[in-house]
Amino acid sequence: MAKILIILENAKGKIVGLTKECLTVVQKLAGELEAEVEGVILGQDIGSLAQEAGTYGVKKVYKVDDAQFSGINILYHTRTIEALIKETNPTLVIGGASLYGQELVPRLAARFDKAMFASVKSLTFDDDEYEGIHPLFEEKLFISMEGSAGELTFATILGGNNPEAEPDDGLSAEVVDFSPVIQDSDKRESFVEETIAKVSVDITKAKLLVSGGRGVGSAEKFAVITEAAKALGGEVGASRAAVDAGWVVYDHEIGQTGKTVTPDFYIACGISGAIQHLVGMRNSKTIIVINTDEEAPIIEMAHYAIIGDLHEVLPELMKSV
Amino acid sequence: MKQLTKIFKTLNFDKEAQEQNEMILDMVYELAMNEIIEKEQDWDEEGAHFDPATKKVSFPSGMMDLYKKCQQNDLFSIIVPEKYDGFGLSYTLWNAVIELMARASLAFSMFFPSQGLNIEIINNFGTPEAKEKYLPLLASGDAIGAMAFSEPNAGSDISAVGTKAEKEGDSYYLTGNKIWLSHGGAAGTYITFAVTDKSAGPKGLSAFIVDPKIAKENMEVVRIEEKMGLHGSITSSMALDRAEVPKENLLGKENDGFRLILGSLASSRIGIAAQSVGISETALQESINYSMQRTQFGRPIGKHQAISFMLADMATKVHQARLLYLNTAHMKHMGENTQIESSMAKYWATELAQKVTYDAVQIHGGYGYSREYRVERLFRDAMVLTIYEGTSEMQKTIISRGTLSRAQK
Amino acid sequence: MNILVFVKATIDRNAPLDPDETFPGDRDDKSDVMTNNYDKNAIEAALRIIEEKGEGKVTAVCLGSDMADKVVKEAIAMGCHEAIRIENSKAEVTHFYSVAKILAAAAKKVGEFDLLLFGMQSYDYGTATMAPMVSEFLDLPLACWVEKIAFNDGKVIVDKVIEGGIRKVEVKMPAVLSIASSGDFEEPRYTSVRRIMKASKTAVPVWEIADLGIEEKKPSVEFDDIEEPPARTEKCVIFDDGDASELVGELLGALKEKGLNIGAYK
Repeated sequence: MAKILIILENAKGKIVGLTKECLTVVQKLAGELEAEVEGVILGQDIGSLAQEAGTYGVKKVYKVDDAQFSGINILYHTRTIEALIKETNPTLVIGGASLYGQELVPRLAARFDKAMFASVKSLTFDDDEYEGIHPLFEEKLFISMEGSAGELTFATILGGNNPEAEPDDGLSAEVVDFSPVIQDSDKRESFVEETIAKVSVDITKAKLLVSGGRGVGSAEKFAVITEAAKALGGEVGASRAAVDAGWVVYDHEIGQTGKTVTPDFYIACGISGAIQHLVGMRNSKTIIVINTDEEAPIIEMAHYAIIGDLHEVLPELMKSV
Repeated sequence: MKQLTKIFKTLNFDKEAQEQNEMILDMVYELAMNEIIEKEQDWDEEGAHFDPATKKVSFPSGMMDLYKKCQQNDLFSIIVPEKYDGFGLSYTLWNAVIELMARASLAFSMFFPSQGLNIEIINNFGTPEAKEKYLPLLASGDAIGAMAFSEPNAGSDISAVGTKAEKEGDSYYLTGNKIWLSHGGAAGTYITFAVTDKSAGPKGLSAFIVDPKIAKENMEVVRIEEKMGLHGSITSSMALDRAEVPKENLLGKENDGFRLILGSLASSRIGIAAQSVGISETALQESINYSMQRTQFGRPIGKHQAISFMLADMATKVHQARLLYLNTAHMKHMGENTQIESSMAKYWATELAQKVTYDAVQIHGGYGYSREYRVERLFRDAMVLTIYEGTSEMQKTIISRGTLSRAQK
Repeated sequence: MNILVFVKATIDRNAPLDPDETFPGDRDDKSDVMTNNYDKNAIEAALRIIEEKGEGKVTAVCLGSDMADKVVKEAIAMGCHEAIRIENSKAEVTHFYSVAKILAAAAKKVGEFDLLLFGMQSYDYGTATMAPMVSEFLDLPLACWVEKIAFNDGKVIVDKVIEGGIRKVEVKMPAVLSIASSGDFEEPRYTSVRRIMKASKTAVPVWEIADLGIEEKKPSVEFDDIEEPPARTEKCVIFDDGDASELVGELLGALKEKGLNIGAYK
């Protein structure tokens, strides 16, 4: 029987959103392949997360709960998952194309001397073959990849292309402890420390986001974004440029290294639209751009654009709504 | 960029030189389009500075950082002979670099033509000591080269120079006023004229390199000009009050300055033609982009024949002007005298730049008149081109004299 | 310190895209080709390491057809000491799995190295698989998305980007690093006239894939058709005429017409 193994990425005591997006892909594939869904979760004190995975339709969760996994060491993860694959023989191994997944899964695939479906936005099954669609040239073109479903296959799924799976409290998983497998050579990498900004807000659930980028101008001027978000009853979003400039904290960052959001209204102010930002917000239902540059790439995916100074337009918008 | 490299392929550079040219142009294009262009509007708005208390001038914010990048990339050393820390590359390449810089910012591109003229004049007419001393400084860009030709009563008529040079011992002492000095107060070398024989008219003028480190407080900035365009570039008036110039800094022979400088101006005129093509190319691109976006009567204005034919005219003329300056520069590289052709290139390309930037404003309609759009600045900047380094009228005088004398032969 | 930097030739950002010509070898105009911009961050990192150590050598390695010559030359003109091009015109190896095998074999043939550096991804195919796959094929430790590098006793200590922060890890050399386009190496240096002159006089050895001793194997996942994304049926409505209050008025009017209520969350 076909078996899918999903790598359950977790951070800050939560299963990450991208993994839940992967679970949507996995649930669909499992139906088509008539496959069993199993998961692997690695970390420390992750018992409740292993349980939670069950509510997303994972039947069996292999839990590697060990102090050596309190910080991420890619070589430990690779070795342990390699051992698990050899022991449980899944036909398909899936992870999110997060920074973690893009480092881990290709390495794992290479260890089994396999090519892989790298950073695909969709993965489907038809006629004994998988098909994955991968964007080229910053999504200006798309290539399809094909591989036989008859052999061990690896895949990473790009964020922002699939909805997160909804939990079903009626479902649960069998949680099985799996012991870490670490060889001496894996100690060539060692975890030192991690600095992560504290999370204060969760913008992924907001129905309306007012988002600011480099074009806002300064930390002081960023206040207008915050005010507008408050006035409209939404949350504050930001591009990486605004976060890197220190105008707003990381929790608000949207894009490749930040959150993926799909609000009803996304109001992008002074954001030109680097692809790294666009992947985080393009599935928003209504996208409104306020920018002085009518050539800003973000306009291509917007529904409405006001060409003008955001510092004049936003106050007007607050007044008029 | 392709328009430029395609023309280069038709020139008689060997394979290695072609490859060098392409790589250098790629690098300059990247620097110009990634970094210089971003600052262009800010520089125009901020302008250059002059502090009357200290008599110090300064460039708008960030301009020197990009100047330093040009230094790091060895851009000022292109035409300097290898003997003096340069690379001895072609005038053709040098002028193409000027075009690319002017596409991003005319104000920034001002560093190049005058640097080139300083290098050329010192290399051709400097004493061995002056060459040893100044050419490496100009090559690295540690010295900005300036020209101090105009005086309140001597514009196009250089022979009317009033500044006098008195020789005492091993030095000359210069006294007089110079105006319209690009980079005046910020430069490391100034090429200038002064009267050494009052009775001889133009034949009593000598040319010098004024070194501000030697002249010290006897040479100072009086003020900087508030101009219509080119705000980012410093244009100064300077006063010389017995400014010392050592005799090693005399260019050519005493009383031979007029002939020597006049013969050299042809070279920098090619550079002004290159600047004109740069600014025209940008005006053209801005117009194309705008007319493909702006929709009126249900379709982009670029699809209306009135506009599309205007764009076709602009593109053709820009190409023609580019051929003209590159051909003249290449002639010079091949060792030909380009006195007349340089004037033709300068006259043609600068007049064209005004026409093209004017058309660009027209295509943009009301927006073209707004400071928010780039074409407004291009139009203001372009106005200087037909004026400096010899007005269009002066160029026509040179061209007509030259062609007439040719006809007589 | 010996560093190999892997550089890739891609279609230039400003060149027209064509689904049938996605590789530089498909084109015949050199100006359609550029150095993968992320690889320049890796070159910058390599050069900085050597400059700070005061000794060592950086070798750029590129798999490509002669269209990639300009990429190899650019690497030297940025400051790399040497370069190697692996000829890829006839074989036309394009799949990342096969490319990773070739690059791993090339590194083995070079023999002596302390670090293998990659850009964090490529502009064209962007799979970001090269660094992890090569590290696995060579059995070397790996760190991706590196923003900062320090050394300590045969180890390289790196700051790598993770979602929301930075993770510091220590990796024993020889090691493979992929360099982020943010952080210390965000702004790669330009070429310079001096180094361009040197580059044009530097002969670049061309290696053949056949000499690298790679066992041929078909990738288990293969590339298929390339397509353009479906054209958006709905075009962006642009408001650009009028002052701020008029523009906002027009926007709100348009939203209302579509039955969209932006005021619903107040």
